[in-house]
Amino acid sequence: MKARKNMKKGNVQNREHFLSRFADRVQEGVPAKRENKVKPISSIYNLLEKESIEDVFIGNARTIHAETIRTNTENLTEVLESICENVAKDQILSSIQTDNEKLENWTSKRTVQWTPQDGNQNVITAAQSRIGITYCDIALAESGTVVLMNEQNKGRSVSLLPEVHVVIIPKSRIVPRLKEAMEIINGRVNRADSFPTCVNFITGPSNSADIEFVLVVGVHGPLETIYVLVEDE
Amino acid sequence: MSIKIKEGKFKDRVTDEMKNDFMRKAVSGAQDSLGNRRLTSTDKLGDWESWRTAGSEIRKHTIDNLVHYLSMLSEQISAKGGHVYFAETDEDARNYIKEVVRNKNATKVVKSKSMVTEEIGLNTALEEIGCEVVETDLGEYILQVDDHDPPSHIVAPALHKKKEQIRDLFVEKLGYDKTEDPGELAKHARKMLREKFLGAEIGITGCNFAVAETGTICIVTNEGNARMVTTIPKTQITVMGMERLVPSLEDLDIMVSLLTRAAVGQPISSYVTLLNGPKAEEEVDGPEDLHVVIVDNGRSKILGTEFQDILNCIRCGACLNVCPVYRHIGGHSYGSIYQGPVGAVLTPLLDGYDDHKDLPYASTLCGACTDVCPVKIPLHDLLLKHRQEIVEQGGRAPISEKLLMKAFGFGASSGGLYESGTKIASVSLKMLLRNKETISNGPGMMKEWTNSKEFPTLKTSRFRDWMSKHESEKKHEER
Amino acid sequence: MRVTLFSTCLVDLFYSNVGISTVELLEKLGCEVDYPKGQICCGQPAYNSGYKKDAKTAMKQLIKTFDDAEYVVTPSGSCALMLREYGHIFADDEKWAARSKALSVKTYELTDFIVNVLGIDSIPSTLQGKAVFHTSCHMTRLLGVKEEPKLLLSNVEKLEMKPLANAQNCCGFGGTFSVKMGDISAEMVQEKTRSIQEADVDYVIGADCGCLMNIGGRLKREKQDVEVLHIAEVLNRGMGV
Ligand code: SF4
Repeated sequence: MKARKNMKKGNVQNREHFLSRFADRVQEGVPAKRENKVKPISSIYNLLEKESIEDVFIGNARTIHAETIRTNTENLTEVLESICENVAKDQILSSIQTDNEKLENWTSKRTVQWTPQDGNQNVITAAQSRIGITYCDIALAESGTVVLMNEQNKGRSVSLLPEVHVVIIPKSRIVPRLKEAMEIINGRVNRADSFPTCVNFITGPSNSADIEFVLVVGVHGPLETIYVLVEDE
Repeated sequence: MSIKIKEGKFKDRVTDEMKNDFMRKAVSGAQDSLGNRRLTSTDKLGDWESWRTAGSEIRKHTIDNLVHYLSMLSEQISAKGGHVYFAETDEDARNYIKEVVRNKNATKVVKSKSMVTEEIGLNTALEEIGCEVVETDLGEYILQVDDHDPPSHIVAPALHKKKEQIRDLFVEKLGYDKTEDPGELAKHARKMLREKFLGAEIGITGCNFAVAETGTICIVTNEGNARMVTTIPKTQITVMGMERLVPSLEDLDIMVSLLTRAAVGQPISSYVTLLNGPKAEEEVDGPEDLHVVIVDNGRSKILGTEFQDILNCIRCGACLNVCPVYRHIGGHSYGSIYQGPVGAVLTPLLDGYDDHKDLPYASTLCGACTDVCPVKIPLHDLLLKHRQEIVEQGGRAPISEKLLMKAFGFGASSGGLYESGTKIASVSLKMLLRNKETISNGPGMMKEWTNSKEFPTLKTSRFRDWMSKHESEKKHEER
Repeated sequence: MRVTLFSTCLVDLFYSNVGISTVELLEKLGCEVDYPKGQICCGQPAYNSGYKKDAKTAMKQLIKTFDDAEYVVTPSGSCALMLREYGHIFADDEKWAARSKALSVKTYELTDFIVNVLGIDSIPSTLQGKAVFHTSCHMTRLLGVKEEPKLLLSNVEKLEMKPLANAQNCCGFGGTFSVKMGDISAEMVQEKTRSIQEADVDYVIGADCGCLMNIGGRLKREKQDVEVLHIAEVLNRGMGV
C-alpha cells in the first residue's frame, strides 16, 4: 500500500513487555473470523418501508432541535442566501467542495472560503464567524445525523466554532443508520494514501445534560443547526 | 485525584450524604426522568435484547483476545502516524505524559472527560510541572471550579449538585450574574471556556472505543468539548484503559448504538468523533502530534478471574441510574471515582479491599443493574463473588457475623437441629415480645431493623406445627 | 397432583398464616400437599452474605429432603430463585450436580406453578377494596415471574388494582442487607411506603414474605392503615371450600 504523502510512522513503546504480563491469561494467536451469533436489526428498516428516508430524517432532525429546509439544486443558493440574510461576508465561513457552479459562485461571493494555504488564520476566522457552512458526506435517517469527513479543504473548525452551523445535505447521501455509514467509512479508512483523519457524526447543535440531567442546547459547539436538504436526483 | 476520593468509613460517608437533601432530590429526579428516556430510545431500536447480546459478545471476544487486538491497534495507530505508549502503572502513564508536555514546552492544557485520567491522578501531576489544566466537560468544569469537588456519577459528574448551587458557585467564582437556568449557566461556561480552547497547546482526551482494525479513536460527547480538544491544540494525548477497544468499525456501530441509548436515552449523541491519526500535513486544524497512552493500572490482574466480565464495561452509567441504593446514598458515599454498581465491583479490584470492602455489601442484590447493563455484565453476581472472596480471604468479615453463619451452616445441616433451633428462637422472640404485638426496639443486629421498622411477632405457633396437625387430621378424615 | 411444599423459614417462623393459605389453596385446586419435615432454610441469607461453604451445608440438606418430590412449590419468589440456583452452585460437584439440578428444575414459585403448571389463571376469590402489588426484585427480574401474579389478581372479584409509583425499585429488604445496612434500607423502605400512601389503597399485596415483612414493618411504624397481604392469602380468601 502506498502511504500518505510525507507521513511518518509513529513510535510504539513498551508493547512487548506490557502484553507479556498477561498473555497467558487470554487467548493466544489470531482469533478465527468472528460472526455475531445474534445480528441485531434496527426497527428503522420497518419504518422505511412505510415512510420515505428523507421524511424520517427530517422528523428525527426535528427532535434534536435541527431545523430542516427542503429545496432543490436549482434553488439552493437562494435558500442559503435567505439564511445568511443580513450577515456580512466576513461573518460566514464555508468549506465546501462542489461541482455545482452556481453554488461555487455563491460561496465565493458571499462567504470566506476555507483556504489551507492560509494555515491557522482559518481557525481564527472560524472562531469569529457567525455562520459555518459545510457539505455533508453522509446523513443518517435514524438519528437525524450528518457525517463530515475532514480532509484538506474541509476543516474541522467550520462545523464547530461558528454560532450557527448550516449543513447542505444531498438527499442521495441519506442512509438508514450508523451501520451503513460505518461501511462507507470502513472503505475510506483502509485506503492508505488518503483516509479522512477525522470523521464527525454531528447530531444537532451541541448540548449537555450535566446539570440535573436536563438537556440544554448549545454548549461548546454551535448554538443552532440548520439542515438544507437538496433533492439531487 | 486517584481512584479513592474520600477517607473514612463507608457508613459514616453514607450517614453524611443521606443528610444532603439537595443531592438526593437531584439524583432521584435524574433517575426518574432518565429512566423513561432510556426505555423509549431502546424500544425504538427494535429488539433491545438482541442488541445487548451482540454487544456482550463483541466485548467478551475482544477481552478474550486482548493481546491480539492491542497489538493490532498499536500497529494501526502507528501506521497512521500516531505514537502509542503502553503504561503498566499510573506512574508510568503520568511520567510519559509529563515528558510529552515538557518536550513541547507547553503549559496550557485542555481536557475533555476521561475517567482514566482521574484514576491516574493526571491533573495534579501536570499542575506540579507548571501546567494549567482546564476540564472542559461542563460537569467536570463545575467540579473543578468548586475546588475539585469529586465526581458523583461516571457520566454526569456533577449530578449531586442542584442548579441553584451551581448558580451560586458561578456567581462567587466566575462573575456570573444570571439565573439558575441550566441553559444560561451552560452559556456562561461556554464563554469562559472558549478562551481556554483557543489558547491551548495540549489537548487531552479519553477514549470511548478504539477500533483495532483501523486504529481509530472514537470519542462520544454531547457538548462538543472533545471536538474542541482535538481540533485546536497542536498536540493531542489520548488516554485509554487497556480494555476500551473493539475489533472493527462494524462492531463500533453496535457499541455506539448501545452506549448512547443506555447512557442518556439518545439514539446517538450530538458528537461522535472518529480520529484516524494526527492531521495530514496539508490539513489546517487538528493535532500535528497524536499520542495514545494505553493504561493497565490494575486491569490485567482481572483477566482470567471470575471478575473478568467487568472489563466489558463501556462506562455508560446505566447501572447507576437504576440502582435503588445509589438513589439514596449518591455517588460520594462510594468514596471512589467509580460509583454505583459498577463502582462497587470495579473499585475493590483496582484499588484493593482494604479501603473498599464495604462496597460489595451496598446492594440488595436486586438485579436492576444486571438487567439494564447494555453489555450484560452480571453485576449483582459479581458483587456476590466479592462477598465470597471477602469471607474466604478471612480476617475481613466481622467475627460475630462469621460465628452466626457458622452456626447457621451447622444448625441448618440437619432438620433436627433446625427444628430445636427455631423452637428456641421462637421462645426467645416471645420473651422479647412480652405482651406486645411487634418489636419496636430490638437488641443487637435487630436494632438496625427496629430503628426504622417494626419486627413481626410469631402469631400462634410455627407453621410446621400447624402442618403436622393438618396432616394428621387429613389422615383421620381419609380413614 | 402431588406437590411438595417448601414453606421457607419466614413462613415457618413468622407467617404461618401464609403457609396455611398456601396449603389450603393448593388443596382446593386439587393438589395433594406433602410437607417433608427435614426441610430447613434455603441457605440464601448465608449465601448472599458470601458464606458459600456454610450455605452449601444447608443446601445439601434441602436437596436430600426434596429428592423424592415431583414438584417443589414455595410461596416465595426469592426462595424459589435460590433453589433454582442450586444447579449452578453445585455444577462442579460430582456428587451433588445431578441431584441439585433436578431440584432446580422442579422448583416453582406459587403463582408460577398455578398459572404455568396447573394451567389456572382465574381463581374464584373475593377481596373488597383497592390494592397495589409489590413486585419483588428476585421474583420479577431474576426469576422472571412477572405477569402471573398480576393475572391472578386481575381475576379477584371486587379488587381494584392500582399502579404503584417506582414499582420497579427495591423495597430495601435484601435479606441481611436490612440489618447490615439498616440506615440505607430504612430510606429505601420509606420511599416505598410513601408511594403506597400516595396510591391511596387498602392493601399491599406481595409474593415474598421478606419484602412484606419489611414494608409491613415500616407501615406499622408509620401507623398507616394499610393491610399487608401475601398473594396466597388473597387467593384463598372467599374461595368456596
Ligand atoms: S457496568 Fe454495564 S451498565 Fe454499568 S456502566 Fe458499565 S456498561 Fe454501563
